[in-house]
Amino acid sequence: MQGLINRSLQSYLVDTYGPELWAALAEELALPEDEPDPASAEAGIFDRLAAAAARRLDLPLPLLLEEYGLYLHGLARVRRLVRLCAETFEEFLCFISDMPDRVRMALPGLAMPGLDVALMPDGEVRIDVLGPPMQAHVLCGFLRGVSDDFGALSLVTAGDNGTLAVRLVDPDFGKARSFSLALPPARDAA
Amino acid sequence: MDGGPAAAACAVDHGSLFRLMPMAAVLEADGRFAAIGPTLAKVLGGAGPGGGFLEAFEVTQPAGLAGTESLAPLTSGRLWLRLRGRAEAVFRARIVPLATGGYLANLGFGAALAEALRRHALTVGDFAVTDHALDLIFLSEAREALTGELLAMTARMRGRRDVAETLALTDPLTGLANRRAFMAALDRAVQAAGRGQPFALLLVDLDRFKAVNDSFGHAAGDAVIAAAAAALRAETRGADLTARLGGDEFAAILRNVAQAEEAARVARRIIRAIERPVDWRGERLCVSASIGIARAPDALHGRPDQLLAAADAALYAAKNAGRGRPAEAP
Repeated sequence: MQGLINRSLQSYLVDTYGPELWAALAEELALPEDEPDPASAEAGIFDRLAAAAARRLDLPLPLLLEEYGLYLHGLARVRRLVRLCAETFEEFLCFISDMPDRVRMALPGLAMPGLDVALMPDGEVRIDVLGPPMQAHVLCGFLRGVSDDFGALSLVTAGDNGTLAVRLVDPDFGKARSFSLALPPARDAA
Repeated sequence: MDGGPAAAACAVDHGSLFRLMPMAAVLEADGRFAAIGPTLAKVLGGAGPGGGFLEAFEVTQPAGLAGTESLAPLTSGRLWLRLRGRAEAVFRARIVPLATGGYLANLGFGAALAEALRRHALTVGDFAVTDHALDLIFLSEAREALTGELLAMTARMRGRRDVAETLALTDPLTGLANRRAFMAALDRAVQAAGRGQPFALLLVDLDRFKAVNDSFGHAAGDAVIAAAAAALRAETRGADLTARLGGDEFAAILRNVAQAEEAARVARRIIRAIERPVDWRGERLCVSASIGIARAPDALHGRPDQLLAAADAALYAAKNAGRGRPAEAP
C-alpha cells in the first residue's frame, strides 16, 4: 500500500514539475526510472523523495507537502469521494475523525494516522494528526482543496508539530463546484 | 401502540418527519398520498399527491401480496416495490398503520442505487443521516479507484520486468547466452559463412532429464542443467558460442569447424561430459544428451531458420537412433 502512496507523490511531482524533475530524483535516489518500486513498500522512500524534491525545487518541505495534499484532493475521484461524505465543509470537518476508519474500510492495509478533532472556544477547529507530524501539512493542503470545493472561505494552517487549525471565515463565500452523485460518464477521469 | 399519551408524545409534524425520513410518505386510509418526503417526491416526479400509493408503486415481493389493492395487508412486513412502468426502479419498503387511520410508508433504494442517483439527480442531502446508501457508493467507488491503481501498478511492474528480461542476453541459471542472443549470433554466423567462414551448429537436448526432474524435483533439475551448461562450455572453445535455448535444450556454434568428423568429435565429447553423474544432496543424477549437427555454408540451408530446422531434424534422428549420440543433417 505504501507503493500506492509513493506513486501518488510521483504523480504529483511529474504532473506539477514535469518528468525531468522525476528523472533527476530517480537517479539521485537510485529508483527505477518510471516509479518507486511498489514491491519494496518502503515508507522511507516517501520521505526521502519529498525531501529531495523540496531541495531541488528550493521549496520548504512543508510547502511541498501542502501542495501535494492539494493535488491529491484535486484528483477527480478523490474529490468525488469527499463530496460523497458531506454536504458542506462544516459537515466534512465533523466527519473528518471518521476518515481513517473509512480509508481502512476501502482498503485494509492502507494505514492512515488517526485524527483528533476538537472545537476550540474561539470557534477554531483543531486537528491533531496522530502520526508523523509532517503529515499535518499534507492534510492542510487537502483541506484547503476541500474548503474551496464546497465554496467555503476558511484559513487552514499547519504547524510542524502535527497540529492543524481550521478557521471557517464564511461557509458560503463562493459557489461550490458542481457535483452530482451520479457517476460521470468518463469513469477514468481521475 | 394503544394510542395513549406515549404515542401522542411521539407525534411529529411532517417537516420533522421528512427530515428524518426523506423517502417516507404519509398516506390516507384509502391509499392516497397525504404528504410526501422530499426525496421520494423527486423519485415520483410527476406522480404527485393526487394519485394513490399503489398507483405509483406495485408490490413485487412477497409474491403473495402482488396485486393487492389496499394497504392494510401490506403492513405485515418487509416489501419490495417498483415504480409502475419502470421495472428497474426497485425499492425496499415498510408500511405501518397510523393511529389516525392512515399509513406511514418508508422506502429505501434497492440495489439499483447508482441508477437511481443518476436518474433523479439526488444529492447528499437527499439521504437520511442514518442511511448507509452513500457509504455503499463511497466504498465501491473508493475500492474501484484503488484496485484500478494497484492493477495498473502491477501491470507497469510486469512490463518493466519483461523489458528487462528481453533485453538481457544471458540465461540467468546457466550464464550461457539465451535464445535471443543465440538467434542474433546465428544470424551473424550465417552471414560470415557466406563470406567463407564456416561453422557447425549443434543442437543439444538432454536425455532422461524429465525423469530426474520428476523423481527429484526442480532443484535437482536445475543442478543438472547447470552441470550440462558447464560441460558444454568446457568442451567448446572460447570463440564458440554456447547457449541455453530453454528447458533442457542447448545449442553451440562451433566457429571454423568445417569437417563433419570434427563436429561429430566435439559433439561426442560434450555428450560424455554431460553423462558424468551429478552429485546432488547425496543423490547421483545421471542424464545423457542427443545432439543434432548442421554445418554452414550449405547450399540447401542458406538461411538461419533453414539451418536450425536441419539441425533439429538431425537431433530427432539422433534420438530415434537410440539417444546419447550425435547425428548430422543430411
